[in-house]
Amino acid sequence: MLEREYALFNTKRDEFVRDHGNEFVVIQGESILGFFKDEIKALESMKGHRLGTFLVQRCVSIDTETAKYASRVAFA
Amino acid sequence: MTPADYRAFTVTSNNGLLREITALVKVALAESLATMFKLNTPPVDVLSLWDTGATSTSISKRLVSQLQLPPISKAHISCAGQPYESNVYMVDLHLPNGVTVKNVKVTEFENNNRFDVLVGMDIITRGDFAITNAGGKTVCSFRMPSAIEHIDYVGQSRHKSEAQAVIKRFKKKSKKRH
Repeated sequence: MLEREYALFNTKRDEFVRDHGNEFVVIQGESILGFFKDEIKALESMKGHRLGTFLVQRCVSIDTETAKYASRVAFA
Repeated sequence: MTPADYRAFTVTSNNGLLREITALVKVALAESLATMFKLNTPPVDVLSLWDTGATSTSISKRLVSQLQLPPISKAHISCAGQPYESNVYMVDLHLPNGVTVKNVKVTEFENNNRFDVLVGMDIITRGDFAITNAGGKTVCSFRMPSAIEHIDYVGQSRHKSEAQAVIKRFKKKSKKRH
């Protein structure tokens, strides 16, 4: 789920970070639907759509986005 | 004396030292999302592992499926294995101290037989987390919000100046390294 949207986000990540750093972008399919300063407002803008069919992604670098786990819990 | 205004819980070993800190927590789809998108799944009680080596909180795939959580975003994961991309979900986390942390964004991990939530530093740093081992017995206590003062064992030590000298040497060395 959301692979297509995340792939699109990653191709545009640098541009989004430069122009909309720390904002939340809403992407559905191949469409970029908008940028929001607040995550909940971004989610609210998609009321009426099914949750899980759109991506709400913060415009930050990969390094900032990366969650780090030092323990040996299996993630994949 | 009036009790201080905070909420806390304590994990105590039955006997001896603990090898890990675990506690029962309740997890639910974030109420904000449940209301917004008219979803309704009951919360689930699960065991959590408290992990200062995790930058953010993560939940098992089993719990994702049990709560029927739809993803809202994605995140890169860096762990002992290969780098990985994970779905990100938004949940409310009900802690044993009666505090609910709302709209927590969590990644997901493969199932294991011991716990379903890895509580990371995003939650731990919202309060004070102390592990003490007096008399060879582990006691771990967590309070929210934080106290107004830090715990600093150096200040109470008879070997304070020795400790400060070690820290000074360490800082000098790490400055050289960078």
